Amino acid sequence: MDTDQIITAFPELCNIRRVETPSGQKFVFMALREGVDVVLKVIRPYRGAAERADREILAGNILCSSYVPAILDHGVRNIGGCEMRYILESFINGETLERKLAAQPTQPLDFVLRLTSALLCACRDFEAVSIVHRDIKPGNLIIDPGGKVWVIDFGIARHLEMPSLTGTGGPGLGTWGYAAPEQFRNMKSKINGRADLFSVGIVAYEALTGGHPFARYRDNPLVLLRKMEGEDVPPPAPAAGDDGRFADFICQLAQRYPSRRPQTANDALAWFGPIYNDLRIR
Amino acid sequence: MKMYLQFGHGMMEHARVLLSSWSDSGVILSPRDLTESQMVRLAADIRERRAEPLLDPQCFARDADHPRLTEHRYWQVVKSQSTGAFTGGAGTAALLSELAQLGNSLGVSRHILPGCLAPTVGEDWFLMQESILDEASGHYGGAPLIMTIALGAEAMSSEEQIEAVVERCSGWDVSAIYLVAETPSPYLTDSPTWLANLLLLSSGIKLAGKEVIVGYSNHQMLCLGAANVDIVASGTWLNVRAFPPEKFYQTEDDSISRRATWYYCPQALSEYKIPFLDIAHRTGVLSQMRSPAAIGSHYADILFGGAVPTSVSWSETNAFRHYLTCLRSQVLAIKRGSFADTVSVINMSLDDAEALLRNLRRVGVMGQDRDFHEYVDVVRSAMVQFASAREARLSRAWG
Repeated sequence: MDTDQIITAFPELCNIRRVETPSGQKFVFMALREGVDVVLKVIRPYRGAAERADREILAGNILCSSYVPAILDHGVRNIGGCEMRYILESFINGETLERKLAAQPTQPLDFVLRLTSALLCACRDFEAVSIVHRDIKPGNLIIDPGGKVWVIDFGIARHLEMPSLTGTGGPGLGTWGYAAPEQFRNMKSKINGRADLFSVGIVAYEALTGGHPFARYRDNPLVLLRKMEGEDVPPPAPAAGDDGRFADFICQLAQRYPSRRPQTANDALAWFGPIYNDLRIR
Repeated sequence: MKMYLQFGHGMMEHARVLLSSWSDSGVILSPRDLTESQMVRLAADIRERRAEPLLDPQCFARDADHPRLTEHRYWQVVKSQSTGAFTGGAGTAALLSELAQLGNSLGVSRHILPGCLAPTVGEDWFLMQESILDEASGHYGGAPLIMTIALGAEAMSSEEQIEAVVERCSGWDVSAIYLVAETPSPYLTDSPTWLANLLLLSSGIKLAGKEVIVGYSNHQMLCLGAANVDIVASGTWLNVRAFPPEKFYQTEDDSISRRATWYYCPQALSEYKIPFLDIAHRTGVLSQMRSPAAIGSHYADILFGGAVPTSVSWSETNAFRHYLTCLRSQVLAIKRGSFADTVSVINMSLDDAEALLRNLRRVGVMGQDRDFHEYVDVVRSAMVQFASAREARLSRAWG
């Protein structure tokens, strides 16, 4: 898809430029609308694309979270002779956590505490409307210049009160290494907000220690899955300034069985609150 | 944690006597060992002693053929349903209807629902459990329901299967779970995995907001206090202190009454045949084996009166009542104000038992296969496994 087709289809946008993303499910463009930076996502017409896009739009519409970019517009337009769905979102200026970790794998305790707090608050917002993001990972987190954390890409989010868009029995959706075991095993009855808490735990672990807990298996996804399913996350050495409680908490979030994690984001926040307050004061 | 009596062969008088001096207790009645009229009379006696009667339907295996068990009317329903009484529909309705009537005639205030033994946990077993639960709501007039979860030794050895049970049963609409778990050995277990999984299972169910009653318990399961279990049930013979599924078949007889009399030394967590108490007497350590006054059992006082223990007449009846009185005192004392304190109490009791056992064994006082020295580390190992998985949540939810 070339930019000229987008210019034609979206006359209200200017300064349109294509952004390369690893996603195979959509084309992403940066643009200006009424002088404000926006992100345009055009959904590729693959099987099930419409339903997925609708779920992403629904998630954006019902979510009331200050950690998620606002959806400004959505719909279907003729792009290059093809009817295609699109989503127009606020642009968040900043860098992904993935890029930040590539530059500095081990982040200061204070940053990881703030990151964890923000992600748990975001998860609380998701839970409030029965949404599971299912793809919380460094590449889907943006840190803006003020240090605020944003969660993007609800492309595989699941609305727990709506029928699943995927069958049962096959592999689950999500990113290997970050998806909870029950998610990559597609055990639908077990998937709820606890799956997102698992991902938050892995992300926090990685940011705190400079490495994924099962990093040495990441080249072999099947071994990685087996390890994540069959072994507890190795306890991280507490970072300077951590009395061990934060490292323990991260391990609890990343427990391989959902019954061993905090059962809700609110539960996790109540647990995390004193740790956050004590460690940040120091 | 409270202790109930797990009813077994020949326990009617024990139940009446013990409950007369126990408060806040109960009895899990066994249709295998009692006729309906006996159960009605005993349940009345139990209630008169302000204890709770519960009825265990003992529907662990559809092909059970123990004569006393299968004589009961509800078991006749099980046998007459060609399509099965545990898979929903008319058969299940008929079974639950009979069980509800029986429970009401016993005056139970809570009903234990039947549950088949799962050799391994899988979707078929879950569906069977849920068929019973779905049908149950129409038969018990709103009385609190307790679901049976009965797991075979193989299921109990699998952490994954245990977690699957925790996950699934948390959504069941019952106030409590009655848990019975087959041990890999006839009595005490030498498997830390089995014990850790029992701790994980019971604590997981408890964390899901349900009361947990663990049947067929013994002193090795005092550690269940750390899982915040509400009730453990134990009894006289070994086949009510550990769960042997084969006891519900005809081939299992009650010849157990031929066995030796054992003295339970609560501070050593061990049992001894009386001739070994003679050794303790001769070597001057017998007084160390006397149950502390705080335990409150006087059933074994005669053994410590100065005479050689085998020279005094100490009956099986006293041995059973002593064991159950001691166990109940230990059960009542195990749970503390926090998870950490409870674990600490359990660890101290293991340390104390280990030290005492070392002294006793040094002078030749052995508990043979009921000597706890081989089981101390089993419990310790299980506790470490269990705490690593559940400590954080249990510490927060303790109450």
